[in-house]
Amino acid sequence: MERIAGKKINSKGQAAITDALFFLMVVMSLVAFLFFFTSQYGRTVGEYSNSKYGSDYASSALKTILYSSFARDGLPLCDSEKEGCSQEVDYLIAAVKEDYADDKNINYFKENLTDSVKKVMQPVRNSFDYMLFIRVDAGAFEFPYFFLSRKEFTSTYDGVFVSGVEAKERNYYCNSSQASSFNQAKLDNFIVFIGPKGQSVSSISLPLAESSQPHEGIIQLVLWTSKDFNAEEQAFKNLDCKEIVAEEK
Amino acid sequence: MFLPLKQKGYMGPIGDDLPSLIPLMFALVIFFSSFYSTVNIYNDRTVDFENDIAVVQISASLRGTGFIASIHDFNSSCNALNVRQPYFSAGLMDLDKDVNLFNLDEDYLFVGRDLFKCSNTKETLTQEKVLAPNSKIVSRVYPLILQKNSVSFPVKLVVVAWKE
Repeated sequence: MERIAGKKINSKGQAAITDALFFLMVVMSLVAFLFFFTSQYGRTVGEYSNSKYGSDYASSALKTILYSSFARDGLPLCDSEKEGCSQEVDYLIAAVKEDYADDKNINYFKENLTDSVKKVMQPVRNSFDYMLFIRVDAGAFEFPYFFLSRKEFTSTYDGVFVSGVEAKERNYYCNSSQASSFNQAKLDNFIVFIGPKGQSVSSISLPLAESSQPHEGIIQLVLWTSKDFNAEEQAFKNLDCKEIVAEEK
Repeated sequence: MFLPLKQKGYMGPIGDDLPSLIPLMFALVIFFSSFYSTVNIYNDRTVDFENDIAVVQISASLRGTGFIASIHDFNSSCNALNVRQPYFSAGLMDLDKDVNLFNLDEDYLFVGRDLFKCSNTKETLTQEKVLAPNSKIVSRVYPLILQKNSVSFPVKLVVVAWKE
């Protein structure tokens, strides 16, 4: 009888430990759930917020580029009629349209447009790479203006650690050779490759000197988080970009 | 006084359960510490989102159409804002000027006597506030057009929001 009682007592002790281990198991699964919840909470909202900032910035930047004033006489722009200030003020985009009208290309005011784009993109130049292009739908797609700015990263290895990461800004005019088979598919391929964080598009009507019928097109600004790729990357090579060397001075 | 030989493992009704208390306590400690950490992270991120949302609202209101024709335009957008928390300071700045969080008021654009500034507090950001362990600061920059005597100048709108 005593022996049976002793066995029952020992069994009770084992059952208590087993219960505690089961409890520990349940708690561990709860903890795993909490960790999963913590790692996921707000991730989508954070990504959406960053993406929204990218598209808001792109739309503000495009408006700013389109409505910026431009001095046709090359004198400085002033907000009062002082001596030495420009007297011939116009919208930059008007000058660009005028430039397109004669030979269906943007040559004369190309640098002014590029300067304006770079100035407007200056506040985010460390976070984003970008491109701005004008695409004209004249039978086949044409790109009279295509500017791209990206950063190329170099780093040194200190044993197993990466140190001394440097970003060098490189600016390009793309579709540089008119004879190239540059097309929308290649551009789309590049946009997919970089994964844009923000885009803004506006329609643009480009008048022609030879015809009363203007060319309809778009002006598009695309931003993306700086991505490290070299100039030999096929998606980039397809854009047929030529580096602006004068920029390095 | 002594337990019978066959009951030597028996340590009494509580004593017998003592070994099972070790995993039990271990489980409770792990659970409450991870619960505490989860609540902290949840609260931190919620504050971040509140700041983010506030900055988006403030900047959307101040940007308007992306074209500011005068100080009255800017002030009427500013007055339409009804944000109490978080504290924020927003204003127009030259595009070339770097944003210095500790010196915002001096960097905002002055046109004549008009200061392009919009804020819901007289407090300014200090190094102590920025370096405080719970400090939450969100800053956003947007380009805009400011028209002065029929000339359109590109400027930037800087919005900084923080919670103390």
